[in-house]
Amino acid sequence: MHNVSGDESRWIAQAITGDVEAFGELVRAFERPVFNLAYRMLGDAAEAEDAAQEAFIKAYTNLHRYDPERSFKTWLLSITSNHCIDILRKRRLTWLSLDNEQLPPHPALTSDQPGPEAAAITQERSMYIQDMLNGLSQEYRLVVILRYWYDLSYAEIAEMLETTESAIKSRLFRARQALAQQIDAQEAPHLVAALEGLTP
Amino acid sequence: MSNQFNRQFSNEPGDAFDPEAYDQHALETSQTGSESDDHNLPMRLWIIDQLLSNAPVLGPAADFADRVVEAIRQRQWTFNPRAGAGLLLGFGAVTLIVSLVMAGIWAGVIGVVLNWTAIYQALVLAGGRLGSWLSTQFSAPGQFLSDNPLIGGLTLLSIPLFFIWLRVLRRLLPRGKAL
Repeated sequence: MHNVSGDESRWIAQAITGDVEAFGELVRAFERPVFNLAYRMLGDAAEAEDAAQEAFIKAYTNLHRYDPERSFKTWLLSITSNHCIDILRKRRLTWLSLDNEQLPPHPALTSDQPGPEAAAITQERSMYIQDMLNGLSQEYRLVVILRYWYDLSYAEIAEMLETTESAIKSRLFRARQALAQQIDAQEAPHLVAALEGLTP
Repeated sequence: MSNQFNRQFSNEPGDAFDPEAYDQHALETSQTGSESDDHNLPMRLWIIDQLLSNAPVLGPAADFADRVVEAIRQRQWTFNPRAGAGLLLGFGAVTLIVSLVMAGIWAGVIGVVLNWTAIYQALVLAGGRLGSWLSTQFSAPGQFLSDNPLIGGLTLLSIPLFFIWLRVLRRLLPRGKAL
């Protein structure tokens, strides 16, 4: 589970001594997973960039606490998820419910799929998924994101969230169930047909 | 995006829908045994899994890393002087409090040894002499201002104008120039 490359180890060692440029290399290496987690948690690209930036700054200032036996990526994701949960808690206190509002796409968003048509489809599907995720509680949302986007094991998620594997399994099933119930009954057969056509 | 989830439990992305696999999956992942009365649940779970499995990993703007590095540098520059000032203030306050407490504790002991009345009288005498010396020093300028009130008034007016001019000059000069 622990997977830190030679470059990463070197950058981490240099960053601990105060080399900001070396930390910049770490940011470049992990900006996508960190930003993606923040975006999936918060549902807003501008806010996600701010959160990702803050998470990296927290990581930089707490780099001396990083345990090299653990995966650096998992450590970063843990900081990011905690920061996003803090933001969501503050938001819940200050905002009225905006859950049903359509979020505008951010021009900076990029995807792995090339071409304008593929990008448009990806963007549309991404928004559909994001709308569904926004309907989940933050605990359920985080488990779903960590499991599906980052392929983290139950044990890794449980370690990150300081809970048990069985609690994570239960939370994940309930989250999937809640997501499934958001799918319109008439829409389901069309979705099945469309998804079965997604042959790699 | 590769997906361990699908490999572990059910279909690969793009595989045909298999309700039985999803019923089994639901049983495996449910720790509470709660069952939905929705008979379409397996199909819906399959849809969710497929959607999530094919969801893209989004990235930030191209200059994101540069901005993070810049933000770290800025915070380092602004944080250190403030932290230093805060530490100095903290140490100063602690020293003052400790000194006062110690003075209070030792006052009785010192009072026995020292003659407080003589010390007080000496301080009053020194204060008086300092006052008369200062009065002598300022009597000539004071007399001058009294004889020429216009100069005094103009001087008072020019002080704020000088600071305003200094502020304007700072804004006009490019950043980084010491002033």
